[in-house]
Parts: sequence; C-alpha cells; structure tokens
Amino acid sequence: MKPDIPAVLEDVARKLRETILPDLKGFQANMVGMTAAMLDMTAEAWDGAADRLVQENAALATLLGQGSALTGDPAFRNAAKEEAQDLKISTLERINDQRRRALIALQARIETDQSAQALNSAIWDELRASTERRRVTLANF
Amino acid sequence: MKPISADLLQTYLGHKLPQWTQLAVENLFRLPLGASRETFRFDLSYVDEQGESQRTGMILRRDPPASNVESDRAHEFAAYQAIYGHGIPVPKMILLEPDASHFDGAISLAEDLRGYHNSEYQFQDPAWADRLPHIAQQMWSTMGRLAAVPVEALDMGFTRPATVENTAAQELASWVDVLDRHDVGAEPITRAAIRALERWQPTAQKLAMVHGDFRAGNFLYDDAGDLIAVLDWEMAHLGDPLEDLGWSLARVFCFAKDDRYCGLATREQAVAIWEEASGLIADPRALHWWELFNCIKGQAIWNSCAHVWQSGQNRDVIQAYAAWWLRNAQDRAILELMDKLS
Repeated sequence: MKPDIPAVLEDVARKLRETILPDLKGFQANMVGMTAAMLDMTAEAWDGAADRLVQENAALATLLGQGSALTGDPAFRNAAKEEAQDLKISTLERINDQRRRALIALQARIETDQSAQALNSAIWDELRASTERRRVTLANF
Repeated sequence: MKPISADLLQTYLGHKLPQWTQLAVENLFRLPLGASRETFRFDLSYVDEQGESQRTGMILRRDPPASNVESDRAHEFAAYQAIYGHGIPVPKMILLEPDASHFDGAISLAEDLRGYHNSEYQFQDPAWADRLPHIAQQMWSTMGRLAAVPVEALDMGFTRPATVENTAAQELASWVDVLDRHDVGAEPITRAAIRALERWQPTAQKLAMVHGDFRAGNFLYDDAGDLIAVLDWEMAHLGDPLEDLGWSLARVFCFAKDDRYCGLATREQAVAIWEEASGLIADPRALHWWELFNCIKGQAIWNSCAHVWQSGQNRDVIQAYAAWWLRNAQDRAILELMDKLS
C-alpha cells in the first residue's frame, strides 16, 4: 500500500494528538489519546512483524528439537513440526503460540535438572531476545 | 450497555432517596479513570429533610458486563466503608445499588473530592519536580500507615479469609486462575515465574488490609503535593502488607521510564519511607517474592484486558491499549527480577 503504512499511521496519530485531542476532555480525550498511541504502536510493529515471528519460530523449533534430544521425548520436536504455508501474521502467530506452549512444558521439565542447564540457559536467552523483538517504544520498561 | 443519562439517574435517585425533594442531576460527565470500571462525575442538587437547598458533587462508578479485574461494586463499596475513619483518607461512600437492572450494571455513589489532581503523568512535568520527594513521602507513608492499621478493627467480611502463612500461596493461586481463564496466548516467561513462586512463599509479618492497586494514579493530591484521598479499592483484600509495597515498585509503573518507581522515588527511598511509617521490616527475600508475584498479577490483568476485548465482552479502547502497552513490559520486568534480563 502507498503511501507507506507506518508513515500514514504515525501521521494520523500526530494529527489526532495535535488537532482533535486539544478540543476534547475527560473520557473522550483519554480515548483519543490512547487511540493515537495504538496507531504509533501499530506503525512500530508493522514492518517487522512477519520477520520477528519467522525468527522466533525458527529459534523455538531449534530449542524444542534440542529438548527432544535431551529428554528423549519426541513431543517437543513434534510440536514444532508444522511449517507455515504462508507468511500471514495470523498463521505465524498460531504456530508461534503452539511452539511457545511446548517451550513452557519443556522448560518446566528440565529447569531443575542440573544436567540440562545449558538448554535452560538457551531457553532464557531466547525468551530475553523475544522481549527485545516485541519491545514497544512507548512502554515504561 | 445502556448509556447513563441525567434523566435516568435523576428518576432513580428520586425513588431511592424519597426524603430529598426537587432532585436534579446536572453536568453528568464520564471521567478517564481506570480500565476496570466506568466512572462518572455529576452535580446533585436537592432540598433536604430540613427544607434546605443542597448541592453536592458525586462520583458514580458502574460495573461493566466484563472487566480486566474481577471485582464488583459491592466489594469496593465495602472496602471503602471498612477503611473509612481509620486514618487513611478516602472519599465517603453514599449509596450502593447492586441490582444491575437499573443501569445495566451495579453502581455505587461516593462523594466527589474536587479540585485535586490524580495524574501519574503530571509528576514528569518539570513544574512538579521539586514536589516529588514530598509526594513520595505522602504516598509511601500512607501505604505504610495502611499496613499498620490493626486489621482486627476493620470489617473485612467482604473479602476471603487469610492467614499469615497462607496469604502468599492463596493470592498466587487466585491470580494464576485468572490468567488461566483469560488465556490469549502462551506466556513462557510468566509461567517460569509462577513455577519459581510456587517453590517458596513468605510468611507475612502480620495481616493487613491490602489496597491491591496502590500506585501513582490512584490517589488524589493537592497543589502542594499533599495526599488527599486514596482511590480504587476494588482489589482490596486481607493479606500481606508487603504486597502493596511490591505493587508500587513495579517497573511497568515507572512512568518516567527511569529508576524512580511510580515516577517519584528510588526503590531504597520508597522502602525506607514505608518501613518508617508501617513499623514493619521489608524483608528483602519476602519483598522480592511479592514483587515477582505482582508481575503475575499484572500479567493476569493485562491478559484479561486482551481477553475481554477479543471475546467482545468489553470493547473499551483501554482494554486493547493496556494489553498492547503492558504485556511485553511486564515480561521484561519478570526477567529483571529473575536476574535474566542481561
């Protein structure tokens, strides 16, 4: 789409803040202010959303494969078997959710096992990286 | 939901308060307060039993059909009544209408304390910078005094029982249940934190009335920075007073995006003020547990925001906004507390 979606969203958000918001008060002002902020958040996430999910899903598949190798349980590898047939965000998010649920089960199983600490550390590394990928500039932290 | 109109409210109050005549509702106006309840302000004029004309400001809160916080009017009304007159400034409750049929949701009325501020963002205005230490003192000393109120003197019948031994496990189980019932996607960081919290829980030094959402934005203050009233008691309960302190030390409430909690004070300053006012000790291990617990509570609330929006139960913009704005920040706060952020 042209003009570019992030640029349009950021511009609409700015106009809401600068031309609409000053004429409002109370609940309406708050709602429009939040709407503008949500447009900014969408603009920030838009361009990289598919790339972020592809990266994350690949990292999760690697960890789940390692989990199966370590535990001997194929369930973890199997949870990452489905490959995305397209790059729709909804498809990638569904697969992401499946893999993150499997990761919860894997970490719960190995985190107190001293012999699995390398994998546990790798899981934490990926979880930390995931929060960097998902970071919202407007957030307080 | 049915819109609340001045006519509807006036007719209702005319039936509810027959001792007052010539009732008139004016200047009805929805306030931008909170994600969990609708809050309205209005002026009520009437002639009282002595024939005197009166005019008073009122606050009306209405329960929505679904909310990010599972509380109700009766709970918050009772919490306000329980603490009223015990040294913690709160608005006076006027009326509770638990029957949802009148306004498409239960309502409560309270006195409206006007002319004060409650914005957490105002603290970042340079004009307020010199008042921040005083406001911090006011906020955490009030929280400490709440912790010191003998809970035996309060009518806590509105909330579930607790003991010093079980309050931590009980609160954790309750918020994990909320998270489970409002699942909008896997939360591996939150689930890892839950498992860590389940391995050990602190015993409370004492039981206290816990506000449940004591932070910047939930109290009124005047131009001098004096705290006028503590608001939003809908999550109040019997529990460990460290829970309130831990909630106020949440990273997601660092509104200045720095190390000043609630945008007001460092962690050390906040804890010192609270300890002096409460007469209690903020044991580091116990406080750390409650800080991590409050991340679970926060994540349960932000996931509930997403859930009630996604399921169509509550389409207020703030539900979607809060979920977008807070879920990842809450995960980062968990990582920091679990020493996994770097």
